[in-house]
Amino acid sequence: MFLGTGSSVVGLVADDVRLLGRTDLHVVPFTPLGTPPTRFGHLFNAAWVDGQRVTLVLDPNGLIGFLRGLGGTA
Amino acid sequence: MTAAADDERIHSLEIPLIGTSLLVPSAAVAEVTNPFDLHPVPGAPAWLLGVIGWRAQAVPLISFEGMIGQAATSVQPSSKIVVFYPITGRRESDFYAILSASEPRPQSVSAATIETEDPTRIPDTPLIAAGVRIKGRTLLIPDFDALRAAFYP
Repeated sequence: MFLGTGSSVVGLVADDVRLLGRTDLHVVPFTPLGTPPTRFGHLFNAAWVDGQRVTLVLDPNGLIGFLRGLGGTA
Repeated sequence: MTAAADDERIHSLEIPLIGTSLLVPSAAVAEVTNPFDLHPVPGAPAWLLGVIGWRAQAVPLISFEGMIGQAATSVQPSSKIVVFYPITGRRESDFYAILSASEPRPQSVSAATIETEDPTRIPDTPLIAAGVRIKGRTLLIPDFDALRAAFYP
């Protein structure tokens, strides 16, 4: 699965991917508290809330910054 | 101080923590609930225990003890979750929650029932605005501006 953000693209290896329609999701803004783990910001910028279940939504910029911090390039 | 000021009561909530308690205005609290599904937030500081799904929002749950330099607490059978309204200046969806060690207790405080605590007896952190004594017990009043700065640096 490839995530694009501006000039950068990052690929993720996943065991399983499910495509969901926008109407199946209730995505709300979410800002993790505290200092972001990277200078590119937090890893997440939204959340899918289904009752009491929460699935955090990755922020591509934050994720790419995090991966770069691990020594990777994008 | 005038008699009128003495009689002015503020409805507050005492939130028991491990080793101390917070005192907050009741108006700042949206709900007190039992703990339920807590989802971790990768990359977060230790005091951010996770996030809960509450009223269709993702609400971060914090350990106040962890924020003031003590060991971050975890959910116990006696724990409660105190959900707070967003801090002034934040989005209307930016609720947050503090883990309470046990059931919070309502307190109606006035100048006549409250004493200022010796500053040397309260934790040395900007997250505490003041300490007070009620019925011989020390309660800590959080500094919400400092909390906002710590939450959203």
